[in-house]
Amino acid sequence: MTAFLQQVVNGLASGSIYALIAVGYSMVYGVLELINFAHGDIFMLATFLTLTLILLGVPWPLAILLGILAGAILAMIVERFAYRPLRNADRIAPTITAVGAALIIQNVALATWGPQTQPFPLPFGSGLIQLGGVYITVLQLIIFGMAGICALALYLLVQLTPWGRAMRAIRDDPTTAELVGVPVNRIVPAVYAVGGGLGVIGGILFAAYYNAVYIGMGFTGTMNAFVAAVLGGIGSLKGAFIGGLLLGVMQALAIGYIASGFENTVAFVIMIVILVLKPRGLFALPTASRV
Amino acid sequence: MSSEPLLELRNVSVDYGQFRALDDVSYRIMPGEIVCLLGGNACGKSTSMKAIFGQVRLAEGEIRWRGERIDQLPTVRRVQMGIAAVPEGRRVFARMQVEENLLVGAGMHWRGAQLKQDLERVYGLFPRLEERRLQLAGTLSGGEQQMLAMGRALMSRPTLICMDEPSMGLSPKLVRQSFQLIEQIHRSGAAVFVVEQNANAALRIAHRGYVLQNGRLVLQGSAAEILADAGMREAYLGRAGSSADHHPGASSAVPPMDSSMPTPKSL
Amino acid sequence: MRVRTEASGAATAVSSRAPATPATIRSYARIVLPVLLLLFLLAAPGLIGSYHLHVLTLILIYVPCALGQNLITGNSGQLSMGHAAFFGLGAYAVAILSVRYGWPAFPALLAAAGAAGLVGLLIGLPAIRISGDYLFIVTIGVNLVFLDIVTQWVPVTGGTAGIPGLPMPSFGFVRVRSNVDYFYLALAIAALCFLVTLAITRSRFGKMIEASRDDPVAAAACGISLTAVRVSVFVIGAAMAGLAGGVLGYFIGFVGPSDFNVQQSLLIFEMAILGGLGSIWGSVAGAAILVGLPEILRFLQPYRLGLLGLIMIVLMIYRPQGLLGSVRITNLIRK
Repeated sequence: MTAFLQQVVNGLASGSIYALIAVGYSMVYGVLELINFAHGDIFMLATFLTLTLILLGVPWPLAILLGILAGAILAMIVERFAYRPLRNADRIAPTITAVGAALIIQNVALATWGPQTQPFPLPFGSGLIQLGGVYITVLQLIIFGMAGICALALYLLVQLTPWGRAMRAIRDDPTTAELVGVPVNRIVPAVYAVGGGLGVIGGILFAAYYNAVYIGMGFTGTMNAFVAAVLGGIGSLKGAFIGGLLLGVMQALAIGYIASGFENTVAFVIMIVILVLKPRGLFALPTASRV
Repeated sequence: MSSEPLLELRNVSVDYGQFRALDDVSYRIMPGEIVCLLGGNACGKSTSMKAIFGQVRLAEGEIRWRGERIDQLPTVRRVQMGIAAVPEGRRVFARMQVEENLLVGAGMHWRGAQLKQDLERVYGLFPRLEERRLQLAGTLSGGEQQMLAMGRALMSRPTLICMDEPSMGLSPKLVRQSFQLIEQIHRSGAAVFVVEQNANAALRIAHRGYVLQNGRLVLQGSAAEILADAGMREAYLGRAGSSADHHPGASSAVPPMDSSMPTPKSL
Repeated sequence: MRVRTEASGAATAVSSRAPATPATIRSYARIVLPVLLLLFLLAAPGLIGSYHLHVLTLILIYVPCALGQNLITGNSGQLSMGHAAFFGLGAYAVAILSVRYGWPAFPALLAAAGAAGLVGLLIGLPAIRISGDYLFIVTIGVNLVFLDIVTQWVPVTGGTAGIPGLPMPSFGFVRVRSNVDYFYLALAIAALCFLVTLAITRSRFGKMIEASRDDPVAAAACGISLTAVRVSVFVIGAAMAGLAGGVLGYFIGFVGPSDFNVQQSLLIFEMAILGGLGSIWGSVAGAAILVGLPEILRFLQPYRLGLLGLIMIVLMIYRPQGLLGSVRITNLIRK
């Protein structure tokens, strides 16, 4: 039982990271019905940048803030050049340009930082807290805390601000939103920026948790975010968050009880089952009447 | 002051590829007027609406708002200047609450005294919406959605409201109610431009009208003149045996007119 | 050498299939250019150096992959992005059967195609219930699962170390001994897949494939089984990639997981959309450009990924039908 709970705690930690990445990703999907394939690579680049700043001696909080800012700006750049020209095209063309943008970002990161995995130093020790036989590290607590704070802030932003209302109006019906005065061309890049920024927070936590910053982390992040979003009902922020947690726990249990090395397999088997049996996910939004 | 038109389309043409959807069309709407645009299916009515809001590119012509050219401005700017839309099919934001729908119509403002005042004004006009303010808009009935779409338009404090087919998809009773709402909105001070297939209903409340056919203007004048026009009666009103269904009790092609008609003429 | 005769047999088949008495230059070109290309290919080992022959062999190995991808995505409209899994499956099948069990090349290659086709069937069945961009991600997932399996199942696949030491293939008395022989083997397989694809697209079945892409409702109303059509396309496309993977395994003499990652799937996918969806020559052109160009422009090697990405963006914005294609990828998704 203790072993089981330990796996659940570990799963919730990695799941919280997935949740943050998935929420940023699902936001973009919710608004534009577009698979933002570059999402992971944006946070990968921003995480590398944060690491570089930290190694250069920039104070931690500042380095992280700059990293988040860089992710937000990069997300807006990708939106402007790879997605906006195709806003009126069908969904698949921007999916492919998104892959294109992801490859370009990977190439830039590769040229700048090289293919080696780099460790991510922590400014605090690796303390352990014991709770009835289950160990929780300080880092895990920070991860839980960050995920909670971000989720709450995002909820307030989306539910209670004019910005959030405008975003949801675009999600329901972009044409009408524009017609009743929603500045779509200002809101959409902002959605990208917020999604990108959340991704960077997830990315930095990912780097800290696994003590690794590497080129492929973006792709891993994108794929897990997609699975989490599908699991929870794509486009739903609550769904993406819960989906991320569930995915983390299921992967941790699979590692603990079946075999390690099959994380991707677990994720994709779950996803295919969900897509075939319950294509709108576990917590799908009610359908908007799109004409 | 009243001599300057609020909105003016001058010699506007719109192309969809090879197809000319609007051909050299001019409208003007004066402050405080109700103007209707009539015509059958695919005659350019919706395209006119899109042109006003900048959702199609003009092949020729210009659009002026209070004398100033607006045809290069983005949709959002035009709405901010005081033109509001009640889109075809109402198109409320189905997954948002009624009140949130109204707030979206108010633009990117935080809650403030002015916003509250605007909400109260809309709720005063449509008490039904206040009763349902926390309900999801998608769960409203057709008539209530119509109110919500109109209320949403009013939230931007418009001087001109453009309505695309307000009678579409509504039962005869709701069509009547819908046109009563338009008059109500008009009395509250805004000019109204109604695009409508149901010529009878529209001409009953309008001061002036334009008639489109295959993208060209074929007739314009006061509502009474249009009602009296022989060709018009044959083409739209007479044929509208179907439209008589919308007006139970109307035995003749042209229904009895109520007092709001500016110059009722006997036929 | 017999491999050569096989290839020239394919040549006559190409020319006899072309329209009989064309009047315009355009239709002359449709016969003359393929014949010239084939003659060039047959004579290539005598015309070009060994390095270029190596590149040309690689291109020919990728041609069946691109053809299969294009059949699935272009003709049938299914956005599959995991073709490297089928490609790799073929390579691993050949490696395991020939190194561990000593199978000769012909049955090993058949098994490679068969194994890939079988997995294609397993993927193709759920695929018909998953639409558009979701399928795109699911098939990437298939690729990842494939990589998980080959890296973890060490006793059979050798894990990350892969399987070295594939023998030179022999077909009965015909043995492949040199790079020239490998070239003709690749040419024969590419020509075979080219002809199969040509035959499929020109047949009644080909029309059914396109009908079920363009208007599934109408196609189903005409009695076409969408399931049968889409799944069989998936099987055929996968089998071609499997066959090509087998040849790649023999050619390199080593099979490992790094050759069949998601980047490889992207590359094959891009061959189809760059060349042109639904165009057979487009597949050939796509393979030639995306395999050949980076080899010729070696100084661009560090920017290879970024260039692939840039091509994707520019294509989608300015020429979504690809170089030779008729189908716009943007029309493939029904909301």
